[in-house]
Amino acid sequence: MADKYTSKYVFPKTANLLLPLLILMVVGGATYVPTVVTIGASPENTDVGYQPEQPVAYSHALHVGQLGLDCRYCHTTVDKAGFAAIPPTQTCMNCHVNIRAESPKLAAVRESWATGRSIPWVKVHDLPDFAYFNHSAHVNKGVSCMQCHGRIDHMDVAGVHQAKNLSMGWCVECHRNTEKSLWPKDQVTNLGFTPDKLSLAEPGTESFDVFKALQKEYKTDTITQEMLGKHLHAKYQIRDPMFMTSCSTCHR
Amino acid sequence: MNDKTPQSPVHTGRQYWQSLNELAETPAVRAAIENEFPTYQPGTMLSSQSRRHFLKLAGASMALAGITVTGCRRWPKENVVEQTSRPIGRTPGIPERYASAFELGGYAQPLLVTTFDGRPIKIEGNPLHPQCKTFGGKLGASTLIAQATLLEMYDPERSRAIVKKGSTAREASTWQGFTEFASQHFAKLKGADSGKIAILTEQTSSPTFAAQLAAFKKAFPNVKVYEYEPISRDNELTASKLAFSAAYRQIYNIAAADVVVSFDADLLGQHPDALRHANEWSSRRRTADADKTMNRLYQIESRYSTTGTIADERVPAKIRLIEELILQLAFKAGLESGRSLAASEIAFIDALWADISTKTGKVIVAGGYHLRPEILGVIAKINDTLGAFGSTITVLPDTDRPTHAESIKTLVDAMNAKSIDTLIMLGGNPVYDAPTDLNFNAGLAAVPTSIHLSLYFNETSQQSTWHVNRAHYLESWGDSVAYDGTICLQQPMIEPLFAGKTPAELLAVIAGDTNATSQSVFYGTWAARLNDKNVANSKALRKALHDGFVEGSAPATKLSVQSPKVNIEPANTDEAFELRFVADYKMYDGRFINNGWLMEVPDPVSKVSWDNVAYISYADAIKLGVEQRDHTIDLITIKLGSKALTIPGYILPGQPQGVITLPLGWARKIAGAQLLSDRFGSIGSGVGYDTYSLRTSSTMYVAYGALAERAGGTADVATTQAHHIIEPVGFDVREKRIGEKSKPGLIVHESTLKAFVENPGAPHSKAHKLLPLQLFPEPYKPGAKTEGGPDAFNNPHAWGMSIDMNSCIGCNACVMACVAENNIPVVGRDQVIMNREMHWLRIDRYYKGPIDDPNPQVTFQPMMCVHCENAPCEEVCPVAATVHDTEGLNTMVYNRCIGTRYCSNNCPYKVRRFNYLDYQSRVPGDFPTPWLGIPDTQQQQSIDKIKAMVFNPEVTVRMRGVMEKCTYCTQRIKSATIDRRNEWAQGQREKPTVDDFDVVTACQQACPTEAIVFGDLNDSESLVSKLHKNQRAYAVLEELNNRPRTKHMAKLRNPTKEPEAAAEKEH
Repeated sequence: MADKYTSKYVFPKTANLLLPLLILMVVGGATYVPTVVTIGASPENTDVGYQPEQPVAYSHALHVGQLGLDCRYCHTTVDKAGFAAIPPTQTCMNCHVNIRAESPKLAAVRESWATGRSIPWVKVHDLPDFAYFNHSAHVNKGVSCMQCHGRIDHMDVAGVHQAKNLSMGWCVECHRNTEKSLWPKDQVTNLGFTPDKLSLAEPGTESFDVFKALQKEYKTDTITQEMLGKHLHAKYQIRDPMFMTSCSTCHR
Repeated sequence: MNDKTPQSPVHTGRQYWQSLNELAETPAVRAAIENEFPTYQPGTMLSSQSRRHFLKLAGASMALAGITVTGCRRWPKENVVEQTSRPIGRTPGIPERYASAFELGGYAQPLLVTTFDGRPIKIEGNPLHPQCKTFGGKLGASTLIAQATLLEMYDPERSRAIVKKGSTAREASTWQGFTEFASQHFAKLKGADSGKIAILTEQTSSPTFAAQLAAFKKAFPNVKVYEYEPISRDNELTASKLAFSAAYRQIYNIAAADVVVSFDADLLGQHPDALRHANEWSSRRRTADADKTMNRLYQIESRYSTTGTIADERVPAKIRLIEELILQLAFKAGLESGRSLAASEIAFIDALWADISTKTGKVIVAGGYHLRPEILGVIAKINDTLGAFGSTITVLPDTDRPTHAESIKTLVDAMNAKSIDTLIMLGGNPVYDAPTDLNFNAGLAAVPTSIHLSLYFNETSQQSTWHVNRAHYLESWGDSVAYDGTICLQQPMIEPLFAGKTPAELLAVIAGDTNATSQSVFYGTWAARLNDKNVANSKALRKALHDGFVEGSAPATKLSVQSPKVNIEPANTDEAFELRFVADYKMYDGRFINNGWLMEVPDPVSKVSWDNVAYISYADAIKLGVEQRDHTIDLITIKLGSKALTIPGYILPGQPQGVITLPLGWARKIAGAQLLSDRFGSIGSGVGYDTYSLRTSSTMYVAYGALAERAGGTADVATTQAHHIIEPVGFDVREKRIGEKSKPGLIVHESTLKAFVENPGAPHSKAHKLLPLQLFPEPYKPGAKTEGGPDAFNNPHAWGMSIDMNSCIGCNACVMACVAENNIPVVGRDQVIMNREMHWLRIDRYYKGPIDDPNPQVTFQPMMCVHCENAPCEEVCPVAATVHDTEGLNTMVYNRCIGTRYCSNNCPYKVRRFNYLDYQSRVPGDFPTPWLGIPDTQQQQSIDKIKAMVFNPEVTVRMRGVMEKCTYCTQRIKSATIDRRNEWAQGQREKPTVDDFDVVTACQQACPTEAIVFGDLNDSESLVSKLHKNQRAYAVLEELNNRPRTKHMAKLRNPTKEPEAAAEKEH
């Protein structure tokens, strides 16, 4: 019988090093894997910045930012239906039969109009199918387009990209603190609005009335979102956070 | 251990029960109560997969999951495809509703169809039409079958093309191929030769079809036209000619009748006007609360029908005896000579006559359409004596025609005599459903050219030389006449999915108008009717299309009634059975057999789904030695002359002794197919037993002298009667909780009208004392608002429901509405046998009386999630997947659910349903689950693209492994509350909250008897608030202090004399 420490049936001494290596791997893996998964699967990384190539290089920066078209000129259903419809080709052609009627950039639009085939726009803001977001419920309560879509009026021919992560946590954050996102209803499509601009409101508008009320209440011309949100929350009879965060509010 | 149906007549003293198995306490029923998932076998989830295979798949799934996570993957790219120009008035995302109509057996059913993005997704009744309006025109009811036709339209196995019988085999053809053939073929037959053409139609009242037929006859003057409908009201027509000397149809004004005497007529179940009958009947039940009166319904019948279940006085009898009883009643009215009957029978008629003879002008006597015309004539004369015509019965001129039995016989004779060269069959399936003695198939073989227009490629299509696919009624223009004479217009909701044609269109094309479409023939007819050339823009037609109907002919006023001569036929010998052929409550005559929704809905009375059976009485079962145990039922052989049929002999309590009831419409050989496929209708083919095989042209509805015996052998029949049994404590106390005969229990509260009037608490007198839990001791007060407890569930609305068991007729319309609204899957026969049906709403049918009682009473109790404020399901969910919202809804969050099924186990009402498999993804019974599919696209890939079009986009389609249940139609609540609040925000409305009837659940919408009412309990003026305060209202299992938001209302019966106090029974 050979010495038991030299037998080829026994692990060599160097094998003892495997133990700390194993511990390192387990501990390291236990931190590494969740970190990678958390960061990798976070909608902040998977979804924000998503900017698919669209069939027509449409620039919101030009139409909304420079020309000043209202969002609702094209997205007509936004305050009536749950779904903010993409405009039909006819809406484009209202102007483009005369303006830049020959532009090669508009070939796809003209083709759609001539053939009756839809332009296959790619959906950018795509919620999971079990979440039922209703545009009209938000827009009619003073939640601006900007709150979810960002500064669409700065997005150019590269196409619209997803500005917010649209995760459930992000939705609920706002549903718990509605005051932080409420603007006067006539400002919802004014993407560059800030509360301190309220003092510039024209008489006869809702914003002006809101400004006068706040001026009277707080004795100042410098309106903050906190003041505005509190006022509008009462004015628009926004539901309390218990209701707003009930499962049935968004899921069916 | 004897675990079969007891052979001794009385096994227990149990007096309320849902099935014979329960009465016999079979192990399966005991297990069903003690273990909610009795058939749960992990093996069934993996079927034949070996463990090794499982590990392989599990590993692969894990690997895929890894890829999906680390790959930072978005879900699949989606396109938004907008129309190039949007039609006026169309808002994407907002459903549109159009009036339309569905014709069945020659009678229109007025409908309101909801379409979403251009596809119909829900069928409801037209609230403007008098035949189906409920709640004073706020809503419209619809029948089980009409609602289910939606799925028929999306059936992928519907015929998709034109098929031609070539020299050797069937081959696909095209519409152009057919028109070329037709123009050549029919050019030869113009003029004098047109006598060789025959047309066989279904019964249709369509003015457009009539106009096309008239035009066809101009081109082909000698064409012969036949009409055949397997379920026909022939005898009523013949009786009308006997009694009134003209063709009339009788319209019952049940609301005006104090007493309705029905001799085997299923007025509330199977009648073209059943919805209105049911509504009017229920309107005279609700008067019990305010006026302390109710109508009374006598039902003397040879089966257990829907109408029988809600009758105040029911007499089960053989058909021969029913005839004798009618003649005896005529004798009391001074019309006939007296009959020699048993003393009890004479006493019954005496009492009946005493009840109705004093109520002249407030009585209806009705007879079933299967009774002999002379007998129906006698009933007309009795009605005349009682002053019914003009008060409780109005008559409308009807179309005179040969009876359908005669018509099809003449056609077969002509075919056999080879005098017909070309047969055009517009709809129908005579090879399957024509009387067997005629041998239609052989006759058809003698016809050189046969053209069959049909929704499905069926038995007749296979025997024809041409098969043309028919357009569904939701795809085409048309019109038809409702039972009350109004002409209902049918608008297309969608372009024909498979380019089908309508009968009128086909006739027009054959007659030479090759450009005809269903629209052009419809406009042609209405241009002529309205005398307006520019009919497309006619205001009158636009209004009619909006309303869905136009007034028809006025009722006849003067009526003289003759008493016809009646030949008395000898009574049966005791051994022989009477056979009663009835239209199936779901399949009708068999045309709906490939419809999974209808297949799965249980029969209203017997609760059998996925099958037809022969209904026999308990006494006959003992005589024949037939037994049934759980889903296993003994087969019997029924012999009629030289014909025999083997079919499960299902013991139906209350079935009259000596009568076997046979529902028609099953055992279809070819229920549908994709083009030239060998797979014939995967849902309907070969399901059930061929009851048509015993039916001859002389015994269309009733056959005498049949013999029956035990066949030896059993069949598995899927019945739902013992499923989801309510029992919170255990089997042994169940009876006490349900209640004894004539006494209220805890689950079923009931009383008689007289007892209720004397003591409004009578229905609840035996209710146990409330045992409040310590958590929330105060009783619920609507409007009260406290933190944290259930009383806070009223912000800003407090949703609640009321279900009136006194109005419920168990018709299943609500079940079907729920299925269509909430994307509820069809699970298939095997899964139903395993207790896994997914219906959120079920109608519990409780029998009452000892087992040997030939006439047990029935109480229906619709049961779905009652939305407990102290919900037991919420207490046990480990992941908070079921929680309350602020308005009192017990919400179910599918994405949180991990499928422990604890909630279902803890639910005392047994209303939760678990998705054992991906039921939506495949045809029932065929579940090769796509294990290797990427998890979140699994469903999208595996659900048939056409079938997926039926889904309601407002409701999540659930996947395998999650629990689901009634949501109080939360999508309808959201849609109404958001819309009302938007209107308020835009200054178009006073208050931000909803009004009563702004939110209507699908079940309430469909109910013909207004039994289900939904609304806001915060609003003291809402109907549901008032009903919750009604003396009959009670919470089922109130003693558990679950505080359900749904309250049921006790049933009241109105018998002629109060039941004797039930003797104390020994236990």
